[in-house]
Amino acid sequence: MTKKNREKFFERVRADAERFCPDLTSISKSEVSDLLASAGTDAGSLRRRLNESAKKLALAQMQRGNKAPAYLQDVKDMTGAPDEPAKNPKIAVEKAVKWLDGFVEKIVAVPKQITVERAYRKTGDLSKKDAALLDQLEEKLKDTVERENE
Amino acid sequence: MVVKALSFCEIDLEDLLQRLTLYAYALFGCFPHPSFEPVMRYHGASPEDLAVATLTRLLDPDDKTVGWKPAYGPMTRDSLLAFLKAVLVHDFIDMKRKRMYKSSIYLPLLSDSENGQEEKTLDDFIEKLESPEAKAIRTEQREQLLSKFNNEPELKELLTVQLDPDGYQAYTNKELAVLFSISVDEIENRKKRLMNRLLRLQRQAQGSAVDAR
Repeated sequence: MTKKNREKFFERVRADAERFCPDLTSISKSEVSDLLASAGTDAGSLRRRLNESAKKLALAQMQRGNKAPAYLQDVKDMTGAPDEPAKNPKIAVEKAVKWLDGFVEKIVAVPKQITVERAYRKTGDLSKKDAALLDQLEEKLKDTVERENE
Repeated sequence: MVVKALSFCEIDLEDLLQRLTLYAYALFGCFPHPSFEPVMRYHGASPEDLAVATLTRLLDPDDKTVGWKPAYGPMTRDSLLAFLKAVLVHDFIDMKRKRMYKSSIYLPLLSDSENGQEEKTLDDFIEKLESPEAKAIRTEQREQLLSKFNNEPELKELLTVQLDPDGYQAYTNKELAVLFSISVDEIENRKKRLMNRLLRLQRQAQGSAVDAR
Protein backbone atom coordinates (compact mmCIF):
# COMPACT_ATOMS: atom_id res chain seq x y z
CA MET A 1 0.00 0.00 0.00
CA THR A 2 1.58 3.24 -1.10
CA LYS A 3 1.09 6.50 0.73
CA LYS A 4 -0.45 7.89 -2.44
CA ASN A 5 -3.13 5.18 -2.53
CA ARG A 6 -3.94 5.73 1.13
CA GLU A 7 -4.25 9.48 0.58
CA LYS A 8 -6.44 8.90 -2.45
CA PHE A 9 -8.70 6.66 -0.41
CA PHE A 10 -9.12 9.22 2.37
CA GLU A 11 -9.71 12.00 -0.14
CA ARG A 12 -12.51 9.94 -1.68
CA VAL A 13 -14.12 9.42 1.73
CA ARG A 14 -13.95 13.15 2.40
CA ALA A 15 -15.37 14.04 -1.01
CA ASP A 16 -18.23 11.56 -0.60
CA ALA A 17 -19.14 12.94 2.82
CA GLU A 18 -19.21 16.41 1.32
CA ARG A 19 -21.52 15.34 -1.48
CA PHE A 20 -23.85 13.15 0.56
CA CYS A 21 -24.32 15.76 3.23
CA PRO A 22 -26.92 18.46 2.55
CA ASP A 23 -25.59 22.01 2.38
CA LEU A 24 -24.95 22.69 6.06
CA THR A 25 -24.94 26.44 5.61
CA SER A 26 -28.42 26.59 4.11
CA ILE A 27 -30.46 24.07 6.06
CA SER A 28 -32.56 25.45 8.89
CA LYS A 29 -31.94 24.87 12.57
CA SER A 30 -35.04 22.69 12.84
CA GLU A 31 -33.89 20.57 9.90
CA VAL A 32 -30.51 20.08 11.58
CA SER A 33 -32.26 19.06 14.80
CA ASP A 34 -34.52 16.63 12.92
CA LEU A 35 -31.57 15.00 11.16
CA LEU A 36 -29.66 14.66 14.41
CA ALA A 37 -32.74 13.18 16.07
CA SER A 38 -32.89 10.62 13.26
CA ALA A 39 -29.31 9.68 14.07
CA GLY A 40 -30.26 9.33 17.73
CA THR A 41 -28.37 12.40 18.89
CA ASP A 42 -29.80 14.54 21.65
CA ALA A 43 -29.10 18.20 20.85
CA GLY A 44 -29.36 19.09 24.54
CA SER A 45 -26.61 16.64 25.42
CA LEU A 46 -24.33 18.18 22.77
CA ARG A 47 -24.85 21.60 24.36
CA ARG A 48 -24.12 20.21 27.83
CA ARG A 49 -20.95 18.50 26.60
CA LEU A 50 -19.68 21.72 25.06
CA ASN A 51 -20.46 23.53 28.29
CA GLU A 52 -18.51 20.91 30.27
CA SER A 53 -15.55 21.24 27.90
CA ALA A 54 -15.49 25.03 28.27
CA LYS A 55 -15.66 24.70 32.06
CA LYS A 56 -12.76 22.22 32.08
CA LEU A 57 -10.63 24.45 29.84
CA ALA A 58 -11.28 27.48 32.05
CA LEU A 59 -10.53 25.49 35.20
CA ALA A 60 -7.27 24.17 33.73
CA GLN A 61 -6.12 27.74 33.06
CA MET A 62 -7.04 28.90 36.55
CA GLN A 63 -5.30 25.94 38.18
CA ARG A 64 -2.10 27.05 36.47
CA GLY A 65 -2.57 30.58 37.75
CA ASN A 66 -3.62 31.97 34.37
CA LYS A 67 -6.68 34.02 33.72
CA ALA A 68 -9.18 32.14 31.57
CA PRO A 69 -9.87 33.94 28.27
CA ALA A 70 -13.10 35.93 28.16
CA TYR A 71 -14.43 33.87 25.25
CA LEU A 72 -14.49 30.78 27.46
CA GLN A 73 -16.82 32.59 29.85
CA ASP A 74 -19.01 33.51 26.86
CA VAL A 75 -19.12 29.90 25.74
CA LYS A 76 -20.05 28.82 29.26
CA ASP A 77 -22.78 31.46 29.31
CA MET A 78 -24.12 30.52 25.90
CA THR A 79 -24.19 26.79 26.51
CA GLY A 80 -25.21 26.82 30.15
CA ALA A 81 -28.67 25.69 31.29
CA PRO A 82 -31.42 28.24 30.54
CA ASP A 83 -31.80 29.06 34.23
CA GLU A 84 -28.04 29.61 34.73
CA PRO A 85 -27.30 33.35 34.85
CA ALA A 86 -24.93 34.66 32.17
CA LYS A 87 -22.14 37.10 33.04
CA ASN A 88 -22.04 38.75 29.61
CA PRO A 89 -25.09 41.12 29.53
CA LYS A 90 -25.64 40.62 25.79
CA ILE A 91 -25.72 36.84 26.16
CA ALA A 92 -27.92 37.18 29.25
CA VAL A 93 -30.51 39.10 27.21
CA GLU A 94 -30.33 36.58 24.34
CA LYS A 95 -30.82 33.71 26.78
CA ALA A 96 -33.76 35.44 28.40
CA VAL A 97 -35.38 36.07 25.00
CA LYS A 98 -34.79 32.44 24.01
CA TRP A 99 -36.28 31.28 27.29
CA LEU A 100 -39.35 33.46 26.81
CA ASP A 101 -39.71 32.31 23.19
CA GLY A 102 -40.00 28.82 24.55
CA PHE A 103 -43.35 29.82 26.04
CA VAL A 104 -44.59 31.93 23.16
CA GLU A 105 -43.81 29.62 20.25
CA LYS A 106 -46.15 26.97 21.61
CA ILE A 107 -49.13 29.32 21.32
CA VAL A 108 -50.55 29.07 17.84
CA ALA A 109 -53.32 31.46 16.85
CA VAL A 110 -56.42 29.54 15.84
CA PRO A 111 -58.02 30.87 12.65
CA LYS A 112 -61.60 32.09 13.03
CA GLN A 113 -62.88 29.96 10.24
CA ILE A 114 -61.41 26.56 9.49
CA THR A 115 -61.96 25.12 6.04
CA VAL A 116 -60.96 21.66 4.91
CA GLU A 117 -59.28 21.33 1.55
CA ARG A 118 -58.26 18.16 -0.17
CA ALA A 119 -55.39 17.56 -2.55
CA TYR A 120 -54.36 14.25 -4.04
CA ARG A 121 -50.84 13.39 -5.00
CA LYS A 122 -51.81 11.02 -7.80
CA THR A 123 -53.96 13.61 -9.56
CA GLY A 124 -51.17 16.16 -9.42
CA ASP A 125 -52.93 18.49 -6.96
CA LEU A 126 -49.87 18.63 -4.75
CA SER A 127 -46.88 20.74 -5.62
CA LYS A 128 -43.51 19.03 -5.33
CA LYS A 129 -42.68 21.20 -2.36
CA ASP A 130 -45.88 20.26 -0.52
CA ALA A 131 -45.41 16.60 -1.36
CA ALA A 132 -41.88 16.75 0.04
CA LEU A 133 -43.14 18.48 3.18
CA LEU A 134 -45.81 15.82 3.69
CA ASP A 135 -43.21 13.09 3.20
CA GLN A 136 -41.00 14.72 5.80
CA LEU A 137 -43.88 15.00 8.27
CA GLU A 138 -44.78 11.36 7.65
CA GLU A 139 -41.18 10.33 8.32
CA LYS A 140 -41.15 12.37 11.50
CA LEU A 141 -44.41 10.86 12.70
CA LYS A 142 -43.21 7.32 11.93
CA ASP A 143 -39.99 8.01 13.75
CA THR A 144 -41.79 9.36 16.81
CA VAL A 145 -44.11 6.34 16.91
CA GLU A 146 -41.13 4.03 16.45
CA ARG A 147 -39.23 5.68 19.30
CA GLU A 148 -42.25 5.59 21.58
CA ASN A 149 -42.69 1.88 20.89
CA GLU A 150 -39.04 1.03 21.57
CA MET B 1 -0.22 33.76 13.65
CA VAL B 2 -3.01 32.01 15.52
CA VAL B 3 -5.51 34.21 17.31
CA LYS B 4 -6.94 32.73 20.46
CA ALA B 5 -8.70 35.96 21.41
CA LEU B 6 -11.91 34.63 19.98
CA SER B 7 -15.33 36.20 20.10
CA PHE B 8 -18.47 34.16 19.67
CA CYS B 9 -21.08 36.79 20.47
CA GLU B 10 -22.37 36.76 16.88
CA ILE B 11 -22.23 32.99 16.50
CA ASP B 12 -24.68 30.48 17.92
CA LEU B 13 -22.19 27.85 19.07
CA GLU B 14 -24.85 25.30 19.85
CA ASP B 15 -26.14 25.53 16.30
CA LEU B 16 -22.57 25.37 14.97
CA LEU B 17 -21.84 22.24 16.98
CA GLN B 18 -25.01 20.56 15.73
CA ARG B 19 -24.08 21.24 12.11
CA LEU B 20 -20.56 19.95 12.70
CA THR B 21 -21.95 16.79 14.30
CA LEU B 22 -24.13 16.22 11.28
CA TYR B 23 -21.09 16.49 9.05
CA ALA B 24 -19.26 14.00 11.29
CA TYR B 25 -22.15 11.59 10.77
CA ALA B 26 -21.81 11.95 7.01
CA LEU B 27 -18.07 11.31 7.26
CA PHE B 28 -18.43 8.23 9.46
CA GLY B 29 -21.16 6.95 7.15
CA CYS B 30 -19.01 7.39 4.04
CA PHE B 31 -16.06 5.48 5.42
CA PRO B 32 -16.66 2.21 3.64
CA HIS B 33 -16.88 0.01 6.66
CA PRO B 34 -19.06 -3.03 5.93
CA SER B 35 -21.54 -2.06 8.59
CA PHE B 36 -21.59 1.53 9.70
CA GLU B 37 -20.39 1.91 13.24
CA PRO B 38 -20.95 5.20 15.01
CA VAL B 39 -18.17 4.23 17.40
CA MET B 40 -14.68 3.57 16.09
CA ARG B 41 -13.34 0.37 17.53
CA TYR B 42 -10.44 0.79 19.94
CA HIS B 43 -11.02 4.52 20.07
CA GLY B 44 -14.58 4.79 21.29
CA ALA B 45 -15.03 7.99 19.31
CA SER B 46 -18.50 8.62 17.94
CA PRO B 47 -19.48 11.40 15.50
CA GLU B 48 -20.64 13.43 18.51
CA ASP B 49 -17.31 12.87 20.32
CA LEU B 50 -15.37 13.95 17.28
CA ALA B 51 -17.45 17.11 16.75
CA VAL B 52 -17.23 18.13 20.43
CA ALA B 53 -13.47 17.41 20.47
CA THR B 54 -12.93 19.49 17.33
CA LEU B 55 -14.73 22.53 18.72
CA THR B 56 -12.94 22.06 22.06
CA ARG B 57 -9.58 22.22 20.26
CA LEU B 58 -10.52 25.62 18.87
CA LEU B 59 -11.51 26.82 22.34
CA ASP B 60 -8.44 25.43 24.07
CA PRO B 61 -6.00 28.32 24.70
CA ASP B 62 -3.13 25.81 24.82
CA ASP B 63 -3.91 24.16 21.49
CA LYS B 64 -1.90 26.32 19.10
CA THR B 65 -2.49 24.04 16.12
CA VAL B 66 -6.18 24.91 15.80
CA GLY B 67 -6.90 28.61 15.79
CA TRP B 68 -8.51 31.29 13.72
CA LYS B 69 -5.94 33.19 11.66
CA PRO B 70 -6.55 36.80 10.54
CA ALA B 71 -5.94 35.64 6.96
CA TYR B 72 -9.18 33.62 7.14
CA GLY B 73 -11.16 36.86 7.24
CA PRO B 74 -14.10 37.68 9.50
CA MET B 75 -15.24 34.82 11.69
CA THR B 76 -18.84 33.98 10.82
CA ARG B 77 -20.80 30.82 11.51
CA ASP B 78 -20.30 29.60 7.94
CA SER B 79 -16.60 30.42 7.71
CA LEU B 80 -16.00 28.83 11.10
CA LEU B 81 -17.98 25.77 10.10
CA ALA B 82 -15.89 25.35 6.94
CA PHE B 83 -12.70 25.66 9.00
CA LEU B 84 -13.85 23.20 11.67
CA LYS B 85 -14.98 20.71 9.03
CA ALA B 86 -11.42 20.66 7.69
CA VAL B 87 -10.03 20.14 11.21
CA LEU B 88 -12.55 17.38 11.84
CA VAL B 89 -11.61 15.54 8.65
CA HIS B 90 -7.92 15.67 9.62
CA ASP B 91 -8.67 14.35 13.09
CA PHE B 92 -10.91 11.62 11.68
CA ILE B 93 -8.18 10.47 9.30
CA ASP B 94 -5.58 10.65 12.06
CA MET B 95 -7.73 8.40 14.21
CA LYS B 96 -8.10 5.92 11.40
CA ARG B 97 -4.34 5.97 10.85
CA LYS B 98 -3.41 5.50 14.46
CA ARG B 99 -1.31 2.48 15.17
CA MET B 100 -3.97 0.85 17.31
CA TYR B 101 -6.56 1.13 14.60
CA LYS B 102 -4.15 0.19 11.83
CA SER B 103 -2.99 -2.92 13.61
CA SER B 104 -6.35 -4.27 14.58
CA ILE B 105 -9.59 -3.45 12.87
CA TYR B 106 -12.50 -5.74 12.47
CA LEU B 107 -13.95 -6.38 9.07
CA PRO B 108 -16.41 -9.23 9.24
CA LEU B 109 -17.91 -8.90 5.76
CA LEU B 110 -14.60 -8.65 3.93
CA SER B 111 -13.16 -11.71 5.53
CA ASP B 112 -12.41 -15.06 3.92
CA SER B 113 -12.98 -17.01 7.09
CA GLU B 114 -16.00 -19.21 7.57
CA ASN B 115 -17.56 -17.31 10.42
CA GLY B 116 -16.98 -14.06 8.61
CA GLN B 117 -14.70 -12.61 11.27
CA GLU B 118 -11.05 -11.78 10.79
CA GLU B 119 -8.76 -9.00 11.82
CA LYS B 120 -7.18 -6.81 9.16
CA THR B 121 -5.03 -3.77 9.09
CA LEU B 122 -6.26 -0.52 7.60
CA ASP B 123 -3.90 -0.98 4.63
CA ASP B 124 -5.22 -4.50 4.07
CA PHE B 125 -8.68 -3.07 4.14
CA ILE B 126 -7.96 -0.31 1.63
CA GLU B 127 -6.16 -2.71 -0.70
CA LYS B 128 -8.93 -5.24 -0.54
CA LEU B 129 -11.58 -2.67 -1.40
CA GLU B 130 -10.65 -3.02 -5.05
CA SER B 131 -10.67 -6.83 -5.08
CA PRO B 132 -13.42 -8.61 -7.07
CA GLU B 133 -14.71 -10.15 -3.83
CA ALA B 134 -15.04 -6.79 -2.10
CA LYS B 135 -16.70 -5.31 -5.17
CA ALA B 136 -19.22 -8.16 -5.22
CA ILE B 137 -19.98 -7.61 -1.54
CA ARG B 138 -20.40 -3.90 -2.12
CA THR B 139 -22.79 -4.53 -4.99
CA GLU B 140 -24.83 -6.85 -2.79
CA GLN B 141 -24.90 -4.32 0.05
CA ARG B 142 -25.86 -1.60 -2.38
CA GLU B 143 -28.80 -3.65 -3.66
CA GLN B 144 -29.90 -4.40 -0.10
CA LEU B 145 -29.79 -0.74 0.80
CA LEU B 146 -31.61 0.33 -2.36
CA SER B 147 -34.35 -2.21 -1.72
CA LYS B 148 -35.19 -0.34 1.46
CA PHE B 149 -36.18 2.62 -0.69
CA ASN B 150 -38.63 0.79 -2.96
CA ASN B 151 -41.51 2.88 -1.67
CA GLU B 152 -39.64 6.12 -2.20
CA PRO B 153 -38.70 6.25 -5.89
CA GLU B 154 -37.29 9.79 -5.74
CA LEU B 155 -34.90 8.89 -2.96
CA LYS B 156 -34.03 5.57 -4.54
CA GLU B 157 -33.18 7.33 -7.78
CA LEU B 158 -30.87 9.72 -5.95
CA LEU B 159 -29.21 7.01 -3.89
CA THR B 160 -28.71 4.86 -6.99
CA VAL B 161 -26.53 7.46 -8.63
CA GLN B 162 -24.81 8.47 -5.38
CA LEU B 163 -23.72 4.90 -4.72
CA ASP B 164 -21.67 3.96 -7.73
CA PRO B 165 -21.14 0.19 -7.70
CA ASP B 166 -17.54 0.51 -8.83
CA GLY B 167 -16.48 2.88 -6.12
CA TYR B 168 -17.79 5.72 -4.09
CA GLN B 169 -18.44 8.15 -6.87
CA ALA B 170 -21.01 10.82 -6.18
CA TYR B 171 -22.24 13.80 -8.13
CA THR B 172 -22.43 17.48 -7.34
CA ASN B 173 -25.85 19.07 -6.85
CA LYS B 174 -25.62 20.76 -10.24
CA GLU B 175 -24.78 17.50 -11.98
CA LEU B 176 -27.66 15.76 -10.23
CA ALA B 177 -30.07 18.55 -11.16
CA VAL B 178 -29.17 18.14 -14.83
CA LEU B 179 -29.38 14.35 -14.57
CA PHE B 180 -32.89 14.37 -13.07
CA SER B 181 -34.10 17.51 -14.84
CA ILE B 182 -35.06 19.17 -11.57
CA SER B 183 -33.83 22.23 -9.70
CA VAL B 184 -30.82 22.32 -7.39
CA ASP B 185 -33.21 23.26 -4.54
CA GLU B 186 -35.18 20.08 -5.14
CA ILE B 187 -31.92 18.08 -5.10
CA GLU B 188 -31.06 19.65 -1.73
CA ASN B 189 -34.52 18.79 -0.47
CA ARG B 190 -34.14 15.16 -1.56
CA LYS B 191 -30.68 15.00 -0.03
CA LYS B 192 -32.10 16.07 3.33
CA ARG B 193 -34.81 13.42 3.14
CA LEU B 194 -32.29 10.81 2.03
CA MET B 195 -29.90 11.63 4.83
CA ASN B 196 -32.75 11.49 7.30
CA ARG B 197 -33.64 7.96 6.13
CA LEU B 198 -30.00 6.82 6.02
CA LEU B 199 -29.35 8.08 9.55
CA ARG B 200 -32.41 6.23 10.78
CA LEU B 201 -31.28 3.06 9.02
CA GLN B 202 -27.82 3.43 10.56
CA ARG B 203 -29.37 3.84 13.98
CA GLN B 204 -31.52 0.75 13.46
CA ALA B 205 -28.50 -1.24 12.27
CA GLN B 206 -26.57 -0.11 15.31
CA GLY B 207 -29.44 -1.13 17.57
CA SER B 208 -29.61 -4.58 15.95
CA ALA B 209 -25.83 -5.01 16.32
CA VAL B 210 -26.05 -4.15 20.02
CA ASP B 211 -28.97 -6.56 20.50
CA ALA B 212 -27.03 -9.31 18.75
CA ARG B 213 -24.01 -8.98 21.07
